[in-house]
Amino acid sequence: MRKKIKERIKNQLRVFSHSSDVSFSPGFSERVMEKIDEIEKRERMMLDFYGSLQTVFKKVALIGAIILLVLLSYNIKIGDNFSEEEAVFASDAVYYDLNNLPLF
Amino acid sequence: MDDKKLISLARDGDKDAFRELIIKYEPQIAGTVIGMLGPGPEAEDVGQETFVRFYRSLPKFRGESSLSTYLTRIAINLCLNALRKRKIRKMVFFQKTKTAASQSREPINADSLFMAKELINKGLQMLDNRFRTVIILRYMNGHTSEETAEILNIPQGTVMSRLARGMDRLKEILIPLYEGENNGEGKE
Repeated sequence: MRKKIKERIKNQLRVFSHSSDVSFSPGFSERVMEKIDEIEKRERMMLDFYGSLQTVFKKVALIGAIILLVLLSYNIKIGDNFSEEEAVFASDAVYYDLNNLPLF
Repeated sequence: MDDKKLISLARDGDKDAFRELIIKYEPQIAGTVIGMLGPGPEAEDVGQETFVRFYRSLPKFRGESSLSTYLTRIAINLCLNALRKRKIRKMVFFQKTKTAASQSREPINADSLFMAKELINKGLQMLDNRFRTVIILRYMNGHTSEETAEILNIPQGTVMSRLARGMDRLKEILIPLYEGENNGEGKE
């Protein structure tokens, strides 16, 4: 009896695996391909976004470096007793001024 | 065209080749996923995700195991994740509304289960994940014990013992329902 039931279960498992219930709705492969296309599109957009962000950052960094060089040469040109530290804004006087900035 | 050729074409960006692979393995993955999760939108989502994951891992796929084994492994892992999430959702829901949760549990009643496949599906859903996985892979998908062991990354002996214990458990679940059917309790 027990063995019979076991065989019945095995048969029903086989029947169940071949029934229409054990399949995805029609057009499954198209839906998967659409999902893949969507993901690829999103990834391309993200790559484009990061690419343009990188370009902007490069420009900002370049402009910053140019401004620094201009200020440096200006300081060197107009300063009287000008030290190397002062030229790169790293003297004690500059730190003192920075610490005492009226923030509020 | 064989799998190797299709995979190589898909790797080179041939979408039609990949579509052919989906069509070829869809029934097998459907069997695994629906057996594990039961029919419904969740199973369809997991089925889609299985192929999406495979598509993304195409450059890394070295063909050490057969594609069938590889895809089934992805599907089983995704199913186990989905079942874990389902369990968490159930726990949260149960904590919030204990009474509602107890009412939402579907009783196993032969009256509402006329068809054998419904009976089997219900029985499978009541099994522990470990047992359900081996039963589906062996008896529904027709994988050998060796392949099942490879898919689940467990020893073959464990597959055999889980299979035996799982079938015993499934029998325990289904016998009252079969008896109900035989006694005519299942008919209105």
